[in-house]
Amino acid sequence: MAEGAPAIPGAADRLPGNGGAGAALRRFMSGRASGVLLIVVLLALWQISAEHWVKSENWPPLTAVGQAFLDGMRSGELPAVFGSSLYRMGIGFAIGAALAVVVGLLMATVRLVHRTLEPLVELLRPIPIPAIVPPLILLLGLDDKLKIFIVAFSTFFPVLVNTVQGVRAIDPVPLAVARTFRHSRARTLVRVVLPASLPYILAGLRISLALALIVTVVAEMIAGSAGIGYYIVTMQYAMRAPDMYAAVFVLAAIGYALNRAFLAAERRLLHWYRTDRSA
Amino acid sequence: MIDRLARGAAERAPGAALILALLAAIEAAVRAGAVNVALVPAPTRIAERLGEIIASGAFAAPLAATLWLLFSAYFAASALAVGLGLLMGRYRAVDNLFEPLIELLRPLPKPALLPPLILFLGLGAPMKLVIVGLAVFFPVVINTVQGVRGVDPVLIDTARTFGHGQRNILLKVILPSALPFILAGMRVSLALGLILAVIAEMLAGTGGLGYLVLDMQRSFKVTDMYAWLVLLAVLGYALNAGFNRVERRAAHWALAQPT
Amino acid sequence: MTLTRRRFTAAAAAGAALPLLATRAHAQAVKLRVSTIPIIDTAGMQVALAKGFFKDEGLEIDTTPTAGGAAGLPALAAGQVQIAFSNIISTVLAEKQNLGFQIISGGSATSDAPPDLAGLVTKPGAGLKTGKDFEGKSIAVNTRNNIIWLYARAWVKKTGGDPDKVTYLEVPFPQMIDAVRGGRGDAAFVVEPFFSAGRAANAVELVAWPYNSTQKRIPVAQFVASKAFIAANAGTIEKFVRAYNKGVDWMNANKGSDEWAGIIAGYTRLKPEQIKSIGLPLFDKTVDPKGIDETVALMRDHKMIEGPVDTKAMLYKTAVTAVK
Repeated sequence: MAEGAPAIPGAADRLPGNGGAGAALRRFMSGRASGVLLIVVLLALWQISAEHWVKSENWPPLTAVGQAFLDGMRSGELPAVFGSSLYRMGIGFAIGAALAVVVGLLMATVRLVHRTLEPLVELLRPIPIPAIVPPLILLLGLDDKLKIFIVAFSTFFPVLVNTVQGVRAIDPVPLAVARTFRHSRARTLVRVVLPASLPYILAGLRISLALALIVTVVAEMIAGSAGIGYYIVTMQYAMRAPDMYAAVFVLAAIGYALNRAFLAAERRLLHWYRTDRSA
Repeated sequence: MIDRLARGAAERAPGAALILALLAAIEAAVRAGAVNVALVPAPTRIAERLGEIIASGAFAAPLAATLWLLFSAYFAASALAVGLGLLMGRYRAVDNLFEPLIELLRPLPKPALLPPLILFLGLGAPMKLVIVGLAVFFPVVINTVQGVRGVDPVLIDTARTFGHGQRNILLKVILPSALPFILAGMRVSLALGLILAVIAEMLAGTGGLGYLVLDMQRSFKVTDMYAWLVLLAVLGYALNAGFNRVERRAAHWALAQPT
Repeated sequence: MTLTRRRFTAAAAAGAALPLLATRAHAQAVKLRVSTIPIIDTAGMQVALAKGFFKDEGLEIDTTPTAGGAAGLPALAAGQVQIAFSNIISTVLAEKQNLGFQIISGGSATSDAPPDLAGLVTKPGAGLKTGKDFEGKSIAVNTRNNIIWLYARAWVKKTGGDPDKVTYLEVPFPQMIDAVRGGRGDAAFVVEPFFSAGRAANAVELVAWPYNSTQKRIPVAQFVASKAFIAANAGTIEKFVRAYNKGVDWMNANKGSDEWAGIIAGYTRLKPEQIKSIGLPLFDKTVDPKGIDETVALMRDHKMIEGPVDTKAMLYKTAVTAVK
């Protein structure tokens, strides 16, 4: 079974009389209201504690954070900083994911490939990113190349694992049927295996996306020079905690938005996949 | 038994061959002077140093420290995550309450949370456990929710018709059905947990493998750094292999559950 | 942060493979990549950049800031940057491993007399005054085996305590005041601006100045390059150091002015008012080998290194005699 199973469209979507964007929005709002309320309560706690109970440079009132956010947006610095991180992340993610799907498909369908690569993959997978930064700096410098590689490296493994497990979870019958036509192995891969394991691949991609954002930021914290991670560390050392927290909030918002967007895209793709399959 | 070992060895042969080939290539490059030996030492030198570390027993204390941090956080956070995930997957209201918060917290890199964590939890074990626990928590809770949602509603209805209470349904029907997903999440979390344990050691360290890797790097003792890094990689490998074994057992058990 | 924005735009246009930022077209300008840290210690170079001293020498400097110093020297060894700003401890350790670096300029130094750029603080009224008092207690340092840790130990020893009986907690500087205030550590050896901020808020009180009470004018950090690069580019190095020295001169002459504060605020992100009120390092144009010798002796005392270090060989001529 794959990590992070495919998003299953809500059963309610299938009931008659529940259509329309307006209705969906209303449902969303009333649905998530309690969750939003929880967040609001926690934020209020933050504000109150910063004003009355906790006296620390590192726990500024939320209002100061809000002000820093506005200043950062107005000066254009926050958007620029986030844009540069997202750019690096996007490229690293695309490279890592594409490689992982290709390698994963091969590993899952060709036994020899699996036996050859699996130990190496299992050995490389748990190595923590900060530990490999110094040798990577030697090879790739301090530039975007380094960050992109690090993101690709960390994106690779979850997507790979999911791809392999997704293929393994496929109903063996169509695969066996396809295998009798040995000469169209590539065709089998693209026409049968890939679409069939799509739900799992997509789930892996979604997890990797969140991971890619985190890794991008951590890489920037360590090997500096631009982006959100560097901004966060610099603001901390400049004793500008409100600016730091403002960036952290934006980071959370972006992560949330990315996840939602991906879920929506996933639902679209899988809806097609499901209707196609059930036909 | 020998037969199984022989088969196991044959299984691993191509994989081992690849790794050896890569190491040989690096060794050759170092000997030929193609890479700066101060930053990429010869694999044979690293192996030597690794041997020294193992023979002298110097690896024991750091290994224990890392393992303690990892396992404590791993099991505590996983238990919490499975519990919450079961509830969130089953009851829409619980999901509504926690999902936005979880989705907002998930993309935050843990080092960014260090300032408030140190402020409120100090520098000791609780702070490090929370950093590692946070990393472990999210994949497991998300996967649990997915797993619970994927349970065939017919199973649940059948159980209800037989008069089983909510708790029984959760534990005897839903949990086993969702187990494959949960385990997939716990597999990811194990890897993530190790990574965060190492990061925690590097950022607020007091011993442990991650701390040593960083310390050696800072003193430019590059050979030592790689030796400890290899230990770390082997640990990760061993943890994953151990997990596979446990997963196979659990899958057996899950399949054996009466449905 | 102009460089950041400019680099971002250039990179966005260029695509995945990113060469050095080198779009400005001086045919004769020599391009140098310098790894720096966004702290006050590198102010001399930042001033030289802002006032165009490097350009006057025909140099185009691409600064690569890293949040911590640890990334600079490996990049230097790999030739990814040509010059790196490095603290003396790292430089000595690199020398011990024969990485082939040399100090090419003066840099930042601690004071001859109080105040200083870092101090030892405790909770108000804690009553810990000498090294002996600290036995069995804890001192927060940012990382172990670095200059802060070394001089904390040296101070404990000098004031009658056994440094091995003190616990050294690793705490990032921004969290040190919180750690002491919250009782997580008994004391902290903390740098600016956290030091002044903590005292101003009455969260901590000053106990001692571990730096200048153990060694006057410690050469804390300097610019470093590889011997190979220096040998092949002696002229460029000289130009770099000359421009840098001009920056240092300007800085020393204009300390406290708004323009001075503005430049420093620009790259450190500190607030200008803050910069004017904190303890500053001394900026030197040369390095005294005797100062390094003393630090090396301490490193040996506290088991960071073994054996001799040829400090004279670590210094390139531009670091010994000020380039005019």
